[in-house]
Amino acid sequence: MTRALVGLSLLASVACVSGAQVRASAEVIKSDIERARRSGAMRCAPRELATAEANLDFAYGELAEGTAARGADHIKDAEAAVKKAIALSRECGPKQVMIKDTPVVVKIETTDKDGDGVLDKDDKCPNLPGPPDNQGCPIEAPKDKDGDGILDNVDKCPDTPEDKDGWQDEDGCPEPDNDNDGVLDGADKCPNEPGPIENIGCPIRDRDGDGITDNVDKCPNEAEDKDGFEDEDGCPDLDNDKDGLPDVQDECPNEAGPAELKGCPDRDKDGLPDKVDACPDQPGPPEEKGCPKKYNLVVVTKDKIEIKKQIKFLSGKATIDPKDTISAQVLSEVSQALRDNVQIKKVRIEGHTDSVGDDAFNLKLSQNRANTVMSALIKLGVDPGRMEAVGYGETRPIASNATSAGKAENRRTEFNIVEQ
Amino acid sequence: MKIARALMVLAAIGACGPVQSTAYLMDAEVQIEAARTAQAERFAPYEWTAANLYYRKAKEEVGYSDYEQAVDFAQKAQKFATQARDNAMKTTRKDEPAAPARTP
Repeated sequence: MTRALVGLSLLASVACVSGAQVRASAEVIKSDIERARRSGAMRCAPRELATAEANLDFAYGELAEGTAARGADHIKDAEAAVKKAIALSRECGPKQVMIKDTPVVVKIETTDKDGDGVLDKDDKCPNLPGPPDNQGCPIEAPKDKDGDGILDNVDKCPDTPEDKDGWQDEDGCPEPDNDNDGVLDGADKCPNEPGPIENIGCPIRDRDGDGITDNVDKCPNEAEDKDGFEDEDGCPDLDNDKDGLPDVQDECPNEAGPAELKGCPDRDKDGLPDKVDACPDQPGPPEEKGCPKKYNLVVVTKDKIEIKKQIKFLSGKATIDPKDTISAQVLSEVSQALRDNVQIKKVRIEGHTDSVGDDAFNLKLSQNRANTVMSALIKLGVDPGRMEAVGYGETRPIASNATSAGKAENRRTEFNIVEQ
Repeated sequence: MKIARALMVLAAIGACGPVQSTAYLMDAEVQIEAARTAQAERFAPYEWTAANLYYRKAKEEVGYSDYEQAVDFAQKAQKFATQARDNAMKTTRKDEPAAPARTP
């Protein structure tokens, strides 16, 4: 069964091919018949012409009926007949006619030696077959002298090969500088777009439209923000001072500052931004516009609270002299200064003595006196966490212990700011 | 009775092709004979040859029971035979010697 099917399909395919072949042959014979007619076959080979034409008609009829095999037989007959007709037509016409009783000889040229359908009298190449539209001469295939694949008849530069770079490759002429920008394509980064040589032949663009051309724009795809800060580089600076707060939210976009002060700096760290701080380098409360509060007995500096009068203690003891009203005023102003200057996170209360007496005793005495001061300030409302008390004894004199004046200077209490 | 009628109609329809083609073939044959009488083989060889070829082919198609093609070719044979006869007659008339002038 399978073999039979294969056989049938083979037969079918052969029949199809045969039909196509017959059709193709019929077209060739049809043109031969036309040629024979032009060559005078109607007069020179009428039987052969009729046979060829009739058999061609029969072949078409058989093809229409689907009987290609019978059609092939007719094609054979038609082919033989048309060949004979062409052969007979070549030189069948009378070449000379003698008109009776007159000496005139009329020469009649009706031959078609090359059988191309163009009579010899009209044939520029009577011995070479050629189509009528080329006066009977064979058409020579056009050459391609420069070997660029474009035939010379359509090649505008037949002696120069086309460069085949995808730019006007149809005309056959090479274009060494496609965009005519003066930069030869070999060195042109953008050979099809004109551009100056300084930009390697590419057009200077401004892709982000920020007015800074791409050749100098460090960020050609991001528009410069033009906020007066580094506007020449072409890159947007979203946080000019790089303080972590975007410029749009930063009240001082060009000066770094903490977010709680809206990005503005505060050099003296008094909580008042420098731009509104009348004394930006000296801490001060807002009611004093950032300037240090004027105290009578103390002065708040960057690293200490200076006291103008010393706190007096009973001799050899750590008790503040109750009769001395100045000491109480000093302590009161120190406590006020600490309350006013919240930026002072920690102050070290230091106790110092002169060199009179035992070192260990002096050390212990100074520590006790520092503790006494700290207790007094706590009583005055100062947060104990903002203070520490340290006794140095006689180890850190600031004046000579040889004189009584020097010794008086060395006996002192200091308030040094250790953290703010 | 009905069956017999139906069979007759079918036979008539079935016989239409052969009858038609035979008629056309007969016509073509008559025309070819007329052309032969007019010496078409000599004086109209193109048409004569074509007429005979088409006539033969028409008969061949009848043999294949392809009556439509047979009719077509038979008509063409008839046409060419008529042309052959006419052309042959025109040619022979030209070749005839002119009638002698009457003597008074």
